[in-house]
Amino acid sequence: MDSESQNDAQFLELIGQNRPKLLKICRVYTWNTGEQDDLYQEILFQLWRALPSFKANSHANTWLYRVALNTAITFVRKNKTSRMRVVPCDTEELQQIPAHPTHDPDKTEQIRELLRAISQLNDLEKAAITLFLEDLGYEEIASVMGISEGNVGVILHRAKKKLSTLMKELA
Amino acid sequence: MNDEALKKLWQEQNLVEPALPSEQQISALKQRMKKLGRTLFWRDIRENIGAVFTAVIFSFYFCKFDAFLVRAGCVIVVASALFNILYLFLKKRVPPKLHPDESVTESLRRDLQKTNIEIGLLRSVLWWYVLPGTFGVMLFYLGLVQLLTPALGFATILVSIDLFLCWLNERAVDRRLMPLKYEIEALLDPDNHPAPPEPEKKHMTSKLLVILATVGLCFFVAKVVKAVEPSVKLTSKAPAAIDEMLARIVAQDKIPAMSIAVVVDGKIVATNAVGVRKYGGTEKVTIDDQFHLGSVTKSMTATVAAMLVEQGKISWTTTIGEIFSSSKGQINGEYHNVTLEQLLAQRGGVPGNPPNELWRKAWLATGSAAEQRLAFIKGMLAEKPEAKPGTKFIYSNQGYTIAGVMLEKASGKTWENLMQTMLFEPLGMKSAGFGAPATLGKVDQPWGHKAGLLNIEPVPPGPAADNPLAISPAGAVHCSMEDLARYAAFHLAGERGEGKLLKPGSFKKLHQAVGDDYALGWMVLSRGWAKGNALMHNGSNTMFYVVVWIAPERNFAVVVATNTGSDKAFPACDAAASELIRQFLQ
Repeated sequence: MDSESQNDAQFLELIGQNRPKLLKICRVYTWNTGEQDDLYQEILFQLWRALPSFKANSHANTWLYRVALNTAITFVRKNKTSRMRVVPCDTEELQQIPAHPTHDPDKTEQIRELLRAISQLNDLEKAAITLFLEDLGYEEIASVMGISEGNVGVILHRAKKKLSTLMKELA
Repeated sequence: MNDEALKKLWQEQNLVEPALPSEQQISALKQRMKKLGRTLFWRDIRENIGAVFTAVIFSFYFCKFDAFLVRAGCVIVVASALFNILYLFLKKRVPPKLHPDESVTESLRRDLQKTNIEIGLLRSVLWWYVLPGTFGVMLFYLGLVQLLTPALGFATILVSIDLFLCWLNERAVDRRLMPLKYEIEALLDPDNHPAPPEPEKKHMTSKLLVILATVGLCFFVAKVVKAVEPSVKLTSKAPAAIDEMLARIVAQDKIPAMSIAVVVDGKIVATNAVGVRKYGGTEKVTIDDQFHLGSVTKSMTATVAAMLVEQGKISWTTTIGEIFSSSKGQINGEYHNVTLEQLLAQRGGVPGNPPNELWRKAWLATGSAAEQRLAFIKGMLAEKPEAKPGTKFIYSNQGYTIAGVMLEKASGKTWENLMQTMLFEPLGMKSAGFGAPATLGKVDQPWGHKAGLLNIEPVPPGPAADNPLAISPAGAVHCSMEDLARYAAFHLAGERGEGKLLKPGSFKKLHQAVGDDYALGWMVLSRGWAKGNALMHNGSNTMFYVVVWIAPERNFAVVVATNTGSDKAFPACDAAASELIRQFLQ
């Protein structure tokens, strides 16, 4: 197998393992399924471009989250400034999010409420809460975001408080 | 809901698989990577193509024109275009290249830095983009088109474009970049971030003042350069180019000969003559050959009148009635109060054409020229004027003849004597004389030519070779083009306040249009190449044709003559004069 094929295989494996993470990040930053698809393609493209730096980096998880979140934040901002449609917060679009695997209507509604509440956070809080929900520790979140663990605590505390209030309101 | 419950809920989301399978995705990514390189390349080209295009165009103009202002403008525009490319390149290089795997906050800080640089660039666009370009383009235009009115029009358009550019950039900063800057700042430091300020006022008034000051500076520089720079630069290849040009016109228009002279800064810098004295003959014209001046004589009569006015022999307001007081009874009463000035300005009401019988008699008349003139004008003045004197411009050889006789009466000398002693001798016009230039039976000077059935026909020296002597003050002088250029230089200097033989006020009188565009023996015409008014007159005794152009603002004059009065004469002389103006006043 030549080096190019090895490269392709490594990338495919990486994406295969992390697809759910990436798709969830896309959903945090936009509800519109068309735009989610665009953002997903963009994240893949940026991961592909950044692949050489991945090889020199042993923290694959941190690397992946950094690229994905940076891409998502830039994508949302570009869409705003180029006056395309503003991405988040359209209830109709929220309904496009598929039902819970068990088809439990309550669960489905809870997930939608959670996403709706997350959409009210700012971009950094969205990143922090996503990483938290993905079960990353403070140290790793701090590394992805480039802030201290103390700051991670502050941002998460604020984000969770907002979420709690918003979800109560929504409930 | 506690943390664990939230995480569980998060993990239980039902996800939608992406549209493309991963394998296809790989080839799509590779394709996009290739495309990215091309996109970045063309983006760079697009950003700089305008500046490169401008630099190329103005480099071309720099080579094409040699006027100082035009070249200075070109240099500034090219330098400013190259500076723009370099400045943008350096400014955009300041934030190091973004790596996709930087931490989220680092990436945001980089975005903030980029946004701040862009804000700085757009806010200062007046200084690094608008003003240098405006300064260069305005100088270029002022060098190229040296008339005030179009220059002011151009300046207005330029200032409007500049203001619009500044306004657009300010708008982009207010509407796009400032909100973005505050958004990123708020993300990075949510606790200590002030509320976004109201959009700043655009300070367009101060920008307008700065732009106006720059444009004003251009006008000032143009004025200074104009004062320092010689009005005309000689073209080194002029003699050969003129020779070639005249030969071409003579051949094309089938005219026998053409002679020219050019005056630059008061000096005769070029003379040339091409062709033959007699159509079908072998005698070539020389630069000393004399050509009949026709009505160009009129300004000479007026000039001598001004000299006699200065001497107190006559005044501009002297009337026909006063000069011919003894024979007043034979003069139509309407002519009594017609002044010398009115006659010279062609506003004396004298008919444009003489009565047929009188004109026939003039052709047959014998006796001295002065006697013939007197008899002719007696006949004219006995008739009713064509229009009420002083009310209408009527181009009239008869009017100038009456004026000539008035000068004879006032001075006690013949018109020919006045011309010789007061004008030709002081100006060194040694070749100047009256009537057809050639001697009877000889081809020692150019012969006049008339249009024949097939070709132009030479008119041999003799009674038919010029108009009757009666109307000499309106058109009988002949001289070489070099001597005519001396005469033109004399009027050129006079108009510029550097004249001799006459006071500045007299020159002003001679050159000031009365009514529309006719002064005393000169037409006053506004011309772009002349940077203002030009003095012009042409003349023809129907067998020769001459044109004189004087551009006082350019300290330039050109005279062109041909020895035919056919239809070809006017366009041929006009073409030669235009070509000479182009060559010398580029």
